[in-house]
Amino acid sequence: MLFQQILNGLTNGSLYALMAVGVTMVYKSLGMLNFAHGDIMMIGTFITLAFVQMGIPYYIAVVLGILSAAVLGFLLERIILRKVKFSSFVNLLIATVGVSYVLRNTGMVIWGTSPQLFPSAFPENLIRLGSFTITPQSIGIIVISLAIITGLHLFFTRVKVGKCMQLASSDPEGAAMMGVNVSYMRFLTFGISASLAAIAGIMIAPLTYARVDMSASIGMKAFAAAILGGIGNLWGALLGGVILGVVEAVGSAYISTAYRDAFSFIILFVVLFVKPTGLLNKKIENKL
Amino acid sequence: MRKQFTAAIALIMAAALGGCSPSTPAGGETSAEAASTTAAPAASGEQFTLGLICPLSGSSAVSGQILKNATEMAIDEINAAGGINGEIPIVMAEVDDEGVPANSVTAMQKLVEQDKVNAVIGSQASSCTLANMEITKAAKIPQITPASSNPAVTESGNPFIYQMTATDSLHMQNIMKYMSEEKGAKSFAILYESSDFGTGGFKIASAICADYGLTMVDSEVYNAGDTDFSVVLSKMQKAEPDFFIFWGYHTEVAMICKQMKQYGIDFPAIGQGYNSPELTNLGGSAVDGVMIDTAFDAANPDEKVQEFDKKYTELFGAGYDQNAPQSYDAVYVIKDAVERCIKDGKDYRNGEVLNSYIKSTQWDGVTGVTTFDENGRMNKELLIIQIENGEHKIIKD
Repeated sequence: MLFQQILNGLTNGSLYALMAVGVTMVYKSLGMLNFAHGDIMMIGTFITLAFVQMGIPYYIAVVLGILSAAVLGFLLERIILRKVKFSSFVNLLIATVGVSYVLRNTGMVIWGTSPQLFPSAFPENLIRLGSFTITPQSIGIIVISLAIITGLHLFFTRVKVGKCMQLASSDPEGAAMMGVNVSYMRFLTFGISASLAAIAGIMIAPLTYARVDMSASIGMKAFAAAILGGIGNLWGALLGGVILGVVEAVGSAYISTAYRDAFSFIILFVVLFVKPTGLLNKKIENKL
Repeated sequence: MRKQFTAAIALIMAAALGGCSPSTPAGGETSAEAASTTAAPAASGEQFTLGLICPLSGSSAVSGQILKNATEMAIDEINAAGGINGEIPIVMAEVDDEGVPANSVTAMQKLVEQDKVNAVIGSQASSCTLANMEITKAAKIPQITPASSNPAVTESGNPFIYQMTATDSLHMQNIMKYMSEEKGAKSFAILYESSDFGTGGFKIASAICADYGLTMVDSEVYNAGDTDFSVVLSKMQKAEPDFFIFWGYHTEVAMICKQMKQYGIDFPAIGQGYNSPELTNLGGSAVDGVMIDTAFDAANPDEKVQEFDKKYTELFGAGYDQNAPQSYDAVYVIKDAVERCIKDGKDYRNGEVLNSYIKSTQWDGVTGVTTFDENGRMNKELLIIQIENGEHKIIKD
């Protein structure tokens, strides 16, 4: 029972992690949370679904959906955030909250409020490992999420553009002086972050249906996971996501499913109380 | 800075998650709409004024419109045949309560004082009916709600209110009677949503199961919007019940059925709340075999039901719920009471007299035979339908 629940928790946890990575990337680059992250996931998922319903082959539809989300991320950065960026942190935050509402309500107008079936790339049958069971979809989610996060890590540490993005977010002025186009890097960050959200949405939708309000719980969990692991830290996002997923699954199995969402936030409060910077972040002293 | 920031964000997020339920807009600007009439008064000047109160604007306008459509359909039929008793045409006075209890009181006052209605049909929301039935009670005018299912409506001791819709306890009794008497079940596990509706179902089940010789071996709860039911399903499976009861809405129930199939958990399942065409759209073959307790189903081969379904769909298009046939029947219940009144030489314009005739109703309509108990609550044998290859099949009527 316990092992089975951990397995279930890992599935949701890797999705939270994938979402949290997107949140964390934007945080590092702009120093703020993107509250529209969950709604970009929803839009990406529905665009993919629309392509599938138009008869476009599944994998091409998925790629188109992810690309559309990336374009949405680019537009969000260019049209809205760049305009308010230099005013204040609070204005930026509120701007993303506004974008979130606009996206969600636009989604309701276009696709309606009832949940819709979403096709899966994986077979529906169950895999039995001794007394434990797991679905191919779950295995797919865990493997793909891990692969993407590892790939991102390599991208940020080995590839030149990735390194420039890292530099641009940790020290914008220094990076600019060294000839890095900081605003282009921010632009790229938003695009990648939005594509990650779309991938997460496409993987979760076969399990939960595509629904316009899907961002309400998954989006919030992504923030919680990012903060839990230490915001701005890639591996922290992964760790935070997995911890949330497992705590939720085990908590609902042994205490009550009614408090499923509460468990995530209780663990978040406990961690922040003990280690306010999150699990993997070191305390940064003010250098001045 | 970072410390306060993260703590503040965590608080904001927790608050947002707790309060993310959608708000219902009040909508509409006026509380009472002008009355419309569907028939001209008879030459003699005698007519029966039937009030209709339901939400025609605001967030429940769609449900209100269904009530209005079906009521109008019945009135038009009766008037086409000359009216009540072949001589008294029905004039409909309608008001919009917007689904807001405060507005529904003002709207009801207009029906009673201005339109001088002889009887009222409505309202839709239980909270509205609970508020506005005080007006009809004071004016001694009979009122039938074809939609409000909160048991409190008929538990308040108001002699002028009738509830022509199945309450959740009637549904539960029907389910337990069927499963214990016809399927020989001895135990069950219930899975319900953590809303008023779901917990209400759970409370009723625990209170009455012993009357049917059933034991509740497990009860599990979920939140609306939950997507992973593996934990609750495996707990229910371990309890080894004879059947499952579901008390929730179609989105989650479709998902529950899919996961049951996926995990190979096979139990007969019955319940209420998820009777929607969306159930089979979302659940596909996984919902085959699931049973639903309902007061009305268009799949019923009964001649009256088929005729109603055909006529309603022709006039207003598809997509009505059980409130439509219930509103339709409510008009006929009133017509029947007035006719019995006239036959006995009594004055139907006296609300107390008409009320006593409605109380003794035995009307065989679209939704089956309607009778009322001493509190005005509908007594009815409900239907049980089973999904078979995506179609509704009636297994008990």
